[in-house]
Amino acid sequence: MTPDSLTIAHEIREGAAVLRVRGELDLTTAEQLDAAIDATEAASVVLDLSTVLFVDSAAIRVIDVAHRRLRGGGRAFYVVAPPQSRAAWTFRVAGFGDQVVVPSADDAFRRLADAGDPPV
Amino acid sequence: MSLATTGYDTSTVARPVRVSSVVLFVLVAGGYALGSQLAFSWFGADGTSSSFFPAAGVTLAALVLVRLAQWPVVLLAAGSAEFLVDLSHDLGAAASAGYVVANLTQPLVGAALLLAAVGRADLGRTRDLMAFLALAVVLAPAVGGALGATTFVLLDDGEGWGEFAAEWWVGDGLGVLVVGGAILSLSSTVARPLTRAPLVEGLVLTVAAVLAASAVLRLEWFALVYVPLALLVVTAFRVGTRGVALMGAAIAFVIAQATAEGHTFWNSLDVAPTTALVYLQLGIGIVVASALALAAEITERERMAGELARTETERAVALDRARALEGERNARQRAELLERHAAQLAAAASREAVASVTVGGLETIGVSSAWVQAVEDGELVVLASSGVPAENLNRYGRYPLGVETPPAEAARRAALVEVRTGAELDRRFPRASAGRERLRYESLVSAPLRAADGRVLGVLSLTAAQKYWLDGTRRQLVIGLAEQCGLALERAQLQVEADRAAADAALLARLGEELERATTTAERADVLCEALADDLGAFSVVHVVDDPGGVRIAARRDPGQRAAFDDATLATQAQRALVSSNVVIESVHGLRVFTAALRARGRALGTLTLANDAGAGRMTTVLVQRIATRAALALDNALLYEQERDVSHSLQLGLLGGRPEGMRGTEIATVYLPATAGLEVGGDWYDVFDLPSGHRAFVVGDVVGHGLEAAVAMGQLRGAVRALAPVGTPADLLANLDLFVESVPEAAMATLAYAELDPATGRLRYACAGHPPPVLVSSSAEPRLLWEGRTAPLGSTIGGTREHAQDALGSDEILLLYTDGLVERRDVGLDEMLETLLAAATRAGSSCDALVEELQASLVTHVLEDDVCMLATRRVDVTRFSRAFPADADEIGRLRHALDEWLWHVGIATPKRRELVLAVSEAAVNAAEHAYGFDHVGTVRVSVESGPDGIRASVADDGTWREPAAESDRGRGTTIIRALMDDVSIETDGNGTVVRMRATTAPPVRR
Repeated sequence: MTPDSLTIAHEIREGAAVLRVRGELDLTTAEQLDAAIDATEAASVVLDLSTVLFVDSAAIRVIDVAHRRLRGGGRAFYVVAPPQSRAAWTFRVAGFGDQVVVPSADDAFRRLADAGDPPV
Repeated sequence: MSLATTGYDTSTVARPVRVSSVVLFVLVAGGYALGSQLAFSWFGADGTSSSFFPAAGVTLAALVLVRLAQWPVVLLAAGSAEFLVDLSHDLGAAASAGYVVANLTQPLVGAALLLAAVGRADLGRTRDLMAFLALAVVLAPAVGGALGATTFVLLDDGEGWGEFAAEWWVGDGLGVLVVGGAILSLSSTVARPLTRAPLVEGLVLTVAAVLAASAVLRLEWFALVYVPLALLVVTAFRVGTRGVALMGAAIAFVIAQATAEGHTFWNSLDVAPTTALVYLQLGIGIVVASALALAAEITERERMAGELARTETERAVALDRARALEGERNARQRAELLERHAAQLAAAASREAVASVTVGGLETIGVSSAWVQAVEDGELVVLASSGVPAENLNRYGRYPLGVETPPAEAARRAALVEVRTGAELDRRFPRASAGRERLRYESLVSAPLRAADGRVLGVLSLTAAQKYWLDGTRRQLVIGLAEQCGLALERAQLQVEADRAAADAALLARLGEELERATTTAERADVLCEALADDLGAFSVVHVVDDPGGVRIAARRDPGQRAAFDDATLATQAQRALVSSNVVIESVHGLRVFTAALRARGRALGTLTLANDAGAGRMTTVLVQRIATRAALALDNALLYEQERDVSHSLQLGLLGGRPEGMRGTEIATVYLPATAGLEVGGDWYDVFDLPSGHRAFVVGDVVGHGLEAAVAMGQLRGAVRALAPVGTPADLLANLDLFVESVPEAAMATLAYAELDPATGRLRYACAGHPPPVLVSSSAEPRLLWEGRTAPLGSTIGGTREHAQDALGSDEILLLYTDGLVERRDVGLDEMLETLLAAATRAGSSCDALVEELQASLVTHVLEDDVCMLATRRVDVTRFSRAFPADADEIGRLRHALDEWLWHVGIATPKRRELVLAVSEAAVNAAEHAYGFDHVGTVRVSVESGPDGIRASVADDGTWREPAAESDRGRGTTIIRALMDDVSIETDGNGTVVRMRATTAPPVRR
């Protein structure tokens, strides 16, 4: 496997843009992720990192910035990282809160469906 | 009166009476003398008043009747008689001569004028009668009268020229009318013939008229004065011209006689007796003339009617004759048609040409459309047509013989089938009705086209707009056409069959060759479709039977881009063919679809479907069957090979077990490439296993042969190596293997490279049994071939004692074992290939993976005729990991992977390994980013050591380090590092920054 191999699948589910990421999220691929998030137009974006093999601080930085940007635009943003996943572990190490990180895509959509409680 | 314009038949024009001049002279002279004498005796005691002069009629009649040449005879006779009679009545010679002149001039003028006007007059004709009345009765006597009166005054000393002339005129006119008219009427050729019944009737009527006239004159029964008139009219109707002429003459004589005897009824009239007589004569003349005219008119009408009837008859006869002529012409035309047809057929080379000639040029016999169908595979196929709309051809271009149509029936019964009317067709052949509506015919005839032996090759069908078109002669023509066409068709068919047989043989030969060239079932199916598409222009599909009894498409070609079939339709057709012992034929979208099962050794492997435009191409069930048989054999063989290969391959892969796992302490890379040229797998294998001594054994071997047997032998040999290796030295191993292969003959002559490595020290013992030399590749020195420890292949009887050699594998060196597939090429020598191998190895000594990748890229550039197996290994220094790389983001990923692998070799468990990798990675990113800004130039140095107190790592750069704010983006990496590691220190000075960190680990898991 080459370090820079990253694939991002894009789909629309229940009106929300879902980005499914595979591969390693690091300094070299973070920009790719940033561009993918930036390209979404839906009011809600769900970033599914269930199957990523590696996440570093550069990727966390991109996710953090994207979150702020989307929230500023009144849009919802969730990151899916199951508890045993590499992403969840990295988020824990990096001290990322669970307001944005949810354990499953279904959780993300459950929160999105709750209109009265927009994500922070 | 239009008869003049329609014309008379010349045969009915009166011809001159043939009579000898003597007889003529006697008759005329006698008649004239008699008439003249009567006139003298009856009317003119003084001889000057001849108020009715019958002799004038005699002369004129004679002139009219005889030839011109005999006119002098007539004139001489009349003149002589006149002269003598005159002399006898004491007239002077001069006066007599004058009267002769008058009496001759008068008939001469009348006859000449009449001749000039109407030719030989025939009083049965109205026109002639009118000319007679005008010229002979009225005009000529006027001339005669003038001459007579002149004679009377000048030579006879008479007085009253006018009175004399008038009396002459009337008397001679009446004489010409009643006597001349009677004579001419009797001699008429066109008047109603006077047969016995009308003769009797005429005589009776004449007697009645004479009696009536006598009664009027002699008994003065004036009431009867109209009876003669009425009788004249009746006679005109009943008897005709002759009757009227006779009756008129009789009445005139009776009146004249009676008058002469003094029985006059005009005494009461207040006129001179002479004048009264003139009136009477005039009246009689007019009545007789009218009656004559009436009779002539009636006769004319009757004749016209007769003429019309005759014309009708003649027309009918002419029509019959014309029909007969036309029949003759038609017969000639048909003969010509058949002849032309035969000539053209002789030049027609193909069946289509024969058919085309046959349907051509039939319009002349009233054919509205024609077509020829051939009998092919139980179907009727149109070969050529004329006057048939495309829609009919599309619909009926090909249909089974069993369909109820006239052509099909003609073909089945081998007999002519005739349909005489549209209604009959609709009743007998309801399925052909739709076709008839488009062709608009009433009659249809279908004639079988037979070969010389009577076989029905096809059918010729003709239609005509006419009902009951097929008469006797046309039937003969159709039969003739069909006979000629049948024979020509047979001839063309024989030629076509010969050509086809040759082409089929060529195709099958080509198929055989091309199928041989391909190896797998997929390739062979593909080659088959390609060849069939190329040669036959056919849409072709090969289905193969799938495990669950289904079929799947193995290959397809559609050169015509027809794409008319969806996969489901094709699959259905294939399933039908699988359970049928014959070729299944379908017509789909104007295509003929043949599907044949591919059977070999009693087993249906799949099906072959071929489709072509109906009528196009030369596909027959026979050809399709032959192709299928040939293809089935080829596919069966391929399938056998494949099955064996699949088994061998599975076995081999199972034995190889994929990439060796759990070999901590040595980096290992393996490659196994099955041969691509053939179906068979080779007997190559590699193996890595640990010996009880703590050393690690590496094996690459190659069993002679291919396929299942080789794979099995390889498996046994591999097991034997594992079992026997711990027993002694590598040389002992080979010696033991020699014994082993004695009981496993398939493994005999196998070659083997065997190496034992002490990972800690790098001590190496190796042996090669007939195998290419291993290679030691160094990242810092030239690679070298290990030529020591070489002996013969296993089980060889010519080899000496087994040997092995010793060497050392440096920490930066890679040991490469491989099979001969890597370096044996047909076109390149072994030495040259080994040079190439060493050169490639020089380029890629950094890691085992890099080495095998490079070797594969450099050496495996051709179609592999043999398997290729490579096994590369390098000792891993489990105490220290160090990397130096440029400030490039891409390097960070590589660092992570290398570090993760090294930590695995060290024996660090997964959670800790993950933490260490992330921490070092973050530190390296910081160095590359913050010290150098990813300038790709500055060097980042990473050093990791494994020690009793855990893992110590340092990441150093030569740039300017700035402590980032904890919450900034830059600070996050540092935050992570601190969260993951037990001790973290960041030392920055003017020369750069060093990040040191330490993580306590459990004691390393060492093998």
